[in-house]
Amino acid sequence: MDLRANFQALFYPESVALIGASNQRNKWGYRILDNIITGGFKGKIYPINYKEKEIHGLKAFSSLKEVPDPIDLAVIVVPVRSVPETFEACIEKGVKAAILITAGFGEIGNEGKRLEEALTVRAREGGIIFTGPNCNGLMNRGIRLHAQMISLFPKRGPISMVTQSGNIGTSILARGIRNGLGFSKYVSSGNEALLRNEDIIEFYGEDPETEIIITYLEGVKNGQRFFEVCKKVALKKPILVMKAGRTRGGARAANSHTGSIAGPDEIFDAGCRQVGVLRCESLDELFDLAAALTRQPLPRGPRVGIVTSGGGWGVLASDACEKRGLDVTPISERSISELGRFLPPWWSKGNPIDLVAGMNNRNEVFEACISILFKNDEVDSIMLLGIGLILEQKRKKGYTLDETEKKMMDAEMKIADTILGLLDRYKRPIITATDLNMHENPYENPLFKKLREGGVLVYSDPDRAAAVISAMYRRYQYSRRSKSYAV
Amino acid sequence: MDIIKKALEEGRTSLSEYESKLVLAQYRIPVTKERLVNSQEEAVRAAQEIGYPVVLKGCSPDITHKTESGLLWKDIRNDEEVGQAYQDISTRMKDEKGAVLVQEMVKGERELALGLIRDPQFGPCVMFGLGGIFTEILKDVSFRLAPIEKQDALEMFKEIKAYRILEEVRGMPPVDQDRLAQMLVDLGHLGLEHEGVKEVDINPVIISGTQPLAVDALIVLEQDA
Repeated sequence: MDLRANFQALFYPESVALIGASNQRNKWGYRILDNIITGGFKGKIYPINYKEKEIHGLKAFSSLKEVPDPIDLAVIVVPVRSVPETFEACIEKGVKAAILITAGFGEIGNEGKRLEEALTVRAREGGIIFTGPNCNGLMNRGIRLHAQMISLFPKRGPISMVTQSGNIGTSILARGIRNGLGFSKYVSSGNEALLRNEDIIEFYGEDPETEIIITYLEGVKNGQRFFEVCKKVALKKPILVMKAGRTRGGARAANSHTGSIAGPDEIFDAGCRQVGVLRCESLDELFDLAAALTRQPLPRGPRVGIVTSGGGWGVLASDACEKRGLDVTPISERSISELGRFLPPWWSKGNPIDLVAGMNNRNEVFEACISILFKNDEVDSIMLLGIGLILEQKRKKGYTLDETEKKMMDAEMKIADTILGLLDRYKRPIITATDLNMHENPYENPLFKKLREGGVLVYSDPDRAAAVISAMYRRYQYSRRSKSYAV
Repeated sequence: MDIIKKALEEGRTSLSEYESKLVLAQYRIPVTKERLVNSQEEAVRAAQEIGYPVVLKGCSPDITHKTESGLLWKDIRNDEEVGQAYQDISTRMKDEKGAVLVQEMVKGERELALGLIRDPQFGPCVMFGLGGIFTEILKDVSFRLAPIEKQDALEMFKEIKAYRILEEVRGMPPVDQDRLAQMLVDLGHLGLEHEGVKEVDINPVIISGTQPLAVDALIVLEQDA
């Protein structure tokens, strides 16, 4: 089986057949077709339905056989009992790849499992690869292929995802859209009857459009192969994993002390560390990290400089950094005296650099602080806290801003350009966090919007920011380590 | 390896301490000097050859908890004590087949544990952690999937909370970490090369001076592998 051609058909089809297409708008056979059309797919689309003449403005065919052209990819939404005959029709037609949306297989019990296994055997014999069953579709943003149940159309970017849960996948895509993050590919792998998580990760590893790989897992069918693939791919690209089911497992029947201590989750965790996979604890962490990797350079060391508008958050940030193995390092006398030229006399004179609610020239002060710390090689990353609040002042109706206030607002808005400029100049990460609860609507804050357009997210608290820096530093360490092993 | 093959053919589910250490030694894992004896005379001769003080243990694949069964005599300093210990152990073991193990007495304050388990999903995995009675109480351990490289082993050391026990501490010299790392690498190979090995406990590994030495060991076998 020439898998290369199969994967080409799965992700870059020139023709797609939707088997089980429907004119009824409350059917997935309609919704998926609508998403393919709305998504802007440029290839040929063939709705298959045995009684309809036309669906969603496209000529419908009563069966695959009736389609005059070859079909690369079949999207299957027929009822479970019709799936075997649909597979046979696909094999006969020479289809190379399929997305089996239909549920009701291995997830419902032994009978479903047998059916699923039989299908997999037939697919192998017939030279078809397929995702699913029980999945919510596939996306390849580069060719505007949205063969998916959900109507989410993120912008194009470097992130590719494979998820065992379509539900969780949807949640990540939705966050991505809301935060302006770009995606390349999305696969809902469902029951993983044939194509497994690691097969998709392996493909992403070779895919020039994918730079960051994220995956959501509930179980791994072949753990050894999973880690072999990850080991190979993680040398080139970061892999972010969220694995649920930490609490299950428990003690195994063992005759040795070693055996009684080793829970399946400890083993999975160890494997991740070993092959350089970044395991995330929550969807927030997964998303935060993916966003940061999209735009931020990796920190080349554990030293963090904290620049904060107020004291308490600086303290929380220090704790969060230290807890995660980062180093809120003391700064040199030389830098302290250089910083003193830009800061009010009452500043903290150390790391964290606390502006103590200083309101004047904030943009210039932030820029000077970050530049001095980076230029003098005091720190490897910056955590910048408490920006944008000034833009949220409540005003009475009819209140007009005076010149001073206007200047203050303009200066705050300039912080976005400052951060983006410093990222490029010093090639060191600047991670920002602000208490988003203090903002009317964080997504509408003009400063955050501007930063988001530049690819920088503002995190909701220092702990999340510290988690991001720490994971990025682990990624840096692993990439160094793998370099030293490279032949 | 003949010992494992033979034990599996006999339908056994574990190797004795003596057999386990023979297997480990073939993987270059340093083990205590020891002799298996079947009489008091042999025991005395073995003790003299190994050099006092020695330890006497009941040794049988059926016995996995020697301390609890009173089958362990430590710090034996002369021929007479060897005689007493031998008699006591063989009386207690009279219902079981097995022999008595005469072993060098290793001095060292620091006890570590090395282990191996065969995970149904991830295959053989090696473990490193604090040894002795602390292994199960504190669970201060770290795992990796076999095969591991030396760098992996060095990272495992750093992952346990008690990492500093490997450094120079309270007048004790730093542990030879390269040697310890190599033991974990070799243990991984043992797991990969023998499907029939289900679990391995090497506990304690006592640090004698700077050198780690396997003082007790247990290899658990899997019949259906």
